Amino acid sequence: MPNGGRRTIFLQPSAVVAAGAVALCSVRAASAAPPDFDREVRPILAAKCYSCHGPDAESRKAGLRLDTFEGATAALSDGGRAVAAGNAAASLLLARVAHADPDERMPPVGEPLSAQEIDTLRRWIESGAGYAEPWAFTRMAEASAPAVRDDAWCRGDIDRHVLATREAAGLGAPARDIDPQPLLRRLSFDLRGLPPDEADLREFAADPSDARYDALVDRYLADTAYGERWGRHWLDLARYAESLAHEFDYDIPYAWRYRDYVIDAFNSDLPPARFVAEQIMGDVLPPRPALGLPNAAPIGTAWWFLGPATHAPVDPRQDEADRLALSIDVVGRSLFGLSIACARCHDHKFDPIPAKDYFALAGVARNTRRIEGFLDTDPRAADAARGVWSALADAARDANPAQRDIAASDFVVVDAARDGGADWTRSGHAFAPAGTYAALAADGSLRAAEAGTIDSARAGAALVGSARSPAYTIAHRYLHVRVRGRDAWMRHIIDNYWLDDQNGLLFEGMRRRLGGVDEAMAARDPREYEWRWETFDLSRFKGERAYVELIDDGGGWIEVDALVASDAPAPPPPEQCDEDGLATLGAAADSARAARAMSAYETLRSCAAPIRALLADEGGSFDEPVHVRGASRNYGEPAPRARLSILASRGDASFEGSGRAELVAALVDPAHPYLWRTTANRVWLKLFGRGIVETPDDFGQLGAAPWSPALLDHLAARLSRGESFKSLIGDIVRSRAYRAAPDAGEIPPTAWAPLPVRRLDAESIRDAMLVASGRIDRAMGGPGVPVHLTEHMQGRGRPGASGPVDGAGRRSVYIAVRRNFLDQFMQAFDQPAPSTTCGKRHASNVPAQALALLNSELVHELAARWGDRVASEARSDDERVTSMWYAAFARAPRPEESEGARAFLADERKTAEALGGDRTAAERAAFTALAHALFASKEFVFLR
Amino acid sequence: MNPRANHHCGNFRNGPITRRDMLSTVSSGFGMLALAGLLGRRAQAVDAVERALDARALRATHFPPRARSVIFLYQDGAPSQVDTFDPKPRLVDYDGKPFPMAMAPTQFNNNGNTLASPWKFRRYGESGLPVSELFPHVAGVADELCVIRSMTSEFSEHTNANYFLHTGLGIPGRPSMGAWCSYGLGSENDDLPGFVVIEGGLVPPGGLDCFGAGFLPARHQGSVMRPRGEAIANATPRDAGDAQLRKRQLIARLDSAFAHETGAEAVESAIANHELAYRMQAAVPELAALDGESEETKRLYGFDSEFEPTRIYARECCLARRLVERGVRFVEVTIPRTLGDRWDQHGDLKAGHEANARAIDQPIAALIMDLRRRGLLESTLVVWAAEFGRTPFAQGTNGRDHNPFGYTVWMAGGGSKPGVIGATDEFGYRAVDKPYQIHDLHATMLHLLGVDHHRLTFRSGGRDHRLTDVHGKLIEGAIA
Repeated sequence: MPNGGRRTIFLQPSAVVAAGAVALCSVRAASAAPPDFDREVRPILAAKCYSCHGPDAESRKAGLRLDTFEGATAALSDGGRAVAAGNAAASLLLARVAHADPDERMPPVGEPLSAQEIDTLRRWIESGAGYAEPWAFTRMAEASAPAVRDDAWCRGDIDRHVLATREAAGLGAPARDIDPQPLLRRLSFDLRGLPPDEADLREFAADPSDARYDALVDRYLADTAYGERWGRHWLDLARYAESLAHEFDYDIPYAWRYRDYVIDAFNSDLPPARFVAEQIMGDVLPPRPALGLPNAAPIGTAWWFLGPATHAPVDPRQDEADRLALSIDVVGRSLFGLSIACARCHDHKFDPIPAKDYFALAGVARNTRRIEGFLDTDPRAADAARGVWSALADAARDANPAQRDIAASDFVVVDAARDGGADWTRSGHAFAPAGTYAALAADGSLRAAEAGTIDSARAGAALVGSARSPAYTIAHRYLHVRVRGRDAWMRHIIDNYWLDDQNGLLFEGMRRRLGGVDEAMAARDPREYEWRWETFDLSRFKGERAYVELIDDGGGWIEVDALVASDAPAPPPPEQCDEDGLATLGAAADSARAARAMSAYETLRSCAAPIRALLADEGGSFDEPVHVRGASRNYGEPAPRARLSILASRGDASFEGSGRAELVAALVDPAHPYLWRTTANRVWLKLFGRGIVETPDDFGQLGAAPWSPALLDHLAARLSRGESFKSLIGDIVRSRAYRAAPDAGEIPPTAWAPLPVRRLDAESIRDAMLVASGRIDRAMGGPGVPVHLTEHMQGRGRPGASGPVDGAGRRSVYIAVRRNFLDQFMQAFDQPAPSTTCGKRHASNVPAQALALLNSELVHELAARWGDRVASEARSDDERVTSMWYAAFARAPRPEESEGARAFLADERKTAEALGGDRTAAERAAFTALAHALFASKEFVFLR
Repeated sequence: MNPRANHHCGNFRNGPITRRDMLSTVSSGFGMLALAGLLGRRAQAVDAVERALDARALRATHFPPRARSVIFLYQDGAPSQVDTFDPKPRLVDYDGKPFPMAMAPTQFNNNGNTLASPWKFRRYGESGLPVSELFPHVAGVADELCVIRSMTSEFSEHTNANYFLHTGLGIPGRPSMGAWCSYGLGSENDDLPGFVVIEGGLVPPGGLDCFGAGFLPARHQGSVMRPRGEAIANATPRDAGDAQLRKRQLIARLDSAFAHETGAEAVESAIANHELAYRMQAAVPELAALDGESEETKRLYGFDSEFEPTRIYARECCLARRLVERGVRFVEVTIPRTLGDRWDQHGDLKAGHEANARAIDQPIAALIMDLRRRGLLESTLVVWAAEFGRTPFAQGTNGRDHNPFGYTVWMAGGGSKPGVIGATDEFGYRAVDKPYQIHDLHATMLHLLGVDHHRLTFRSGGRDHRLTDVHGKLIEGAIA
């Protein structure tokens, strides 16, 4: 990890570092210019001073803040000034950081400032101690591309931007482009995560023209492998996983649909703003057909719920607060490029993010429920459902208003569903909308229905769906639900804790099934069922926020009349439970309407069944107060949801609901730079290995400054104007910059440098072996392929069966991501553990990688497959070796390599035959050995 | 600190595989030397070796280290303090009666009456340390133990508490304490990882993530070793005869040309690691070959025990000693499966605790004695700790639930000071005298290794992280 490496340097300068520092000093000495505040001064102040002298007032020491000019230059209690602008000698800051006495020296803990850092501060103070607003919080400023001397080198504005950074440093354009075949290998892995074909390599080598290159770019971008590659980049940001970690590593149900959704979104080149909006609020956006579904947008919202979770929390509110913190960390890093979650316990120590901003997001997240919802698969379904409900609504316009309250004062009505549950949310088509006062009987006639209930069988018992009550605060020991039905679920959800569906510990009875009945009962009309009370014991949960969920997942139905709370365990007596009045069916309930309803219902029933998916749902409109020092029960001032101070004011207009829409509106607003700059930087980083900002998930004051603010804003502005990912990526890879060969000399930090030699990521290595061996199965989507379990992968929640060694030949993105049982091969090569947003993977170099390439079952199996296949081909050794070189290295072997390989094959054949193998076996053994050696060679896992 | 402002050379252009990355991750001097022969560029390679040896974050410790290595005996599932090292006679008075203190919510919420310990305590050694009859062998080394009776945790669920115990934060995905030690101090053995987990059959709740590197470079993640089968994953050649050697020669030729052509240091250090991997194939079997131990040593640990879990744990403890002998920085040892569920006796405390104690008692005592007689105990910190303790009142009738409010951990050797520190209340429920926190245990362990826990940091996601987060104080009286 580069940061860590640099930290290492900082802690313990080695001789090498010292030499580097000297070099740097000499560069500096040559330029007498005052230091750049953003690049040189702020990093020192932020790392060394802000945690006690920064934005967080609560932890501020000695009343001194050094993150503003006013604070730094204010008179201190003893009359001195930390910073006397223009006068280093009078600045106490310098005296303290350079103090000889460790007890007086600042900072009090950690390493003291280096002489070079102190000198930077000195020069900054001498030059007037100018502050600049942190670059990341300033508006995007798109300028026209800079003029460059060597415009002939440039293919477009991107090239002008990168060349300008070199020319400013006294350098010219890179000396040469990379050769065609390594370029194609680079392009193919970058865009598709797969090696290029031999035929393409040969053709491109013969005609390396721009036109052919551009055509290849277009072809790769159109390949579905593009979505698998770039979707995986997003999955890194979304901490994508298919299980919850903790003790039993329970499944995250339907997580794989989210993975498929992301891949499809990239392949269909969804506009970036729409894509981000769907993550946050796809359940309430206008429908977007995709993945064969009339509306796939809601699947994006699984994004909220991909984090780890534990069962049986002793304190469910603390548990919820902890889970929200993990989600907000992902929101902060992936969408804002800021560590907003740091502001959970205090105002951010470095960045202008008050704790109130954290809780403005926590309010949004807490009002966003996690549901396993229902999604239509049939495009006719939504219209048919509308037809059913409109016919029923037309048939009975007037409900009998004479609903009776529960009379006794011992009971409090929590929710009477009086109007049929207008404030309940619904998923699927089973639950009739509010105001549906007629019911469709099995014989096709219309009947009056009870007015004040929420019901999954109003059109018949065949439909599936779920419904959720408004949130309420538990104020009594018991909740009684008046209910009838069969073969359906009723859940009482406390503090959005749902994991009792996998382990009921501490939440026994919060999830219950309305019992199945015999066939005779099942055949009875729903109206013949008796009402009864189901009682939930909530005595341990007083004060918690809760709601009731009804789930009719097929075969049954459920109807709820009222939620009533009391401190005594007994439900209201029967005399207090008169039924709500039946609706009045007017003349409108004629046979024509009945026929219309029946016809629509028949259509709905004939539609392909809905699927289940992990989705978000609106859960209320509560503001969260600031939790003092992050404690879950110590509340401070309210933090109106979605109102972040780092987002320019969006007016004080109140809004309904969770605030997700407001959050999205602010995020995608081009007036706010966060989403656009971080996203543009991520695209650049994935194509160049090095970001324009080298800390992709932290644009805050501890992060790095961009080496070209102009290029960053150029790319960011293009995205903010709606330019698609494919368009931007295509433009970048067509640039001369992308195609340049590495420089020979040293490049200063403010100048762009061409792509270095870099290691392939985990997925690309595994996929490249699948392709070379011929084992690749390009099938897309579906549940994760079970991970192959080695004997070193033990522990609770271990899957019952191991997956195939070769992952059934499927691309790596389809291997199940089980948090406690991650694929060992890919982990060795730095596939990130899905704990939070990972915008930049490690590129580590560990013996486990070499051991995996030498000895793992996977590599041996694929080498054998490749070897067997090549051995069976009726071609000369030379031809076969050449093809293997193309498959492994995207080039023909050099003559000495050919010769070496032939000699190796001969040797292997001889050995195999000496061991008693027949000729076929010897052929196979020889080519298998060669295949293995190619897999284990460095050129296979590195990109030139 | 802006990473770039601190940059010492122009090589940042290497993107994700920066010079820093490589220097901090290349781990084998030998590999570099082998490479030197390979490429005929000895001077360069020697230079690279020197730089590779700088891979540890701290080139010198902050103060003179007392311990060189740590053996962390993780007590999965949480043994009961009042049944092991913290005797509470008052429990006998209340046995079977309602518990006289206010009870906080527990994991299973099935709290019964006060439950006296089924085991008797006796005093041992010159110090007169009380130890229950569950640990007759450990009692024999009582004078080595620094018993902290006032440890607390923030969590009463296994996984949160496990992540907390291992990483200082109650969520998955953070670097384990062994990874921090490896990151800070490196390994003293070029052929073995800095952090090894000996997996005795039970991986703790929370899974392998308890041993992860989190945001630290992957080389610091715990390498899982098993005292049976293939010791370390993929460390056994699959090739028969000298097939691997022939491939190795071909690979070396290919790699040499590639390294020469690209001139990339990333490639060179990958080659070095390849060489290290070959060496590990030899080093690991040698390490795991416990049969070479003397018969006396084997008997001491309990290789010949009638109880299979004891035999397994004996091999684990012996392996742990061999690892620290070879310079591995941090060894975590997990317990074997006994009757059922680790130390997690929600019911049937007597049978469960007896089986678990029987599995570990003799091997632990043997480990301490063996380290001592080899002169290794003073440089090896042995820590016996769980994620929390257990309630002094019953769960149901004969079990105990989780209790994070006060429990016992102990240390031995490595500069720790024998004796008793802190106390729980008269019922052994809550720490009342000198309450300590897991962060304090971490701070003290690091201190004994010569590391100031404030100053071992890693920048990730916008802040400098520490094992002790923003907490941690030294445990008073624990340092000799």
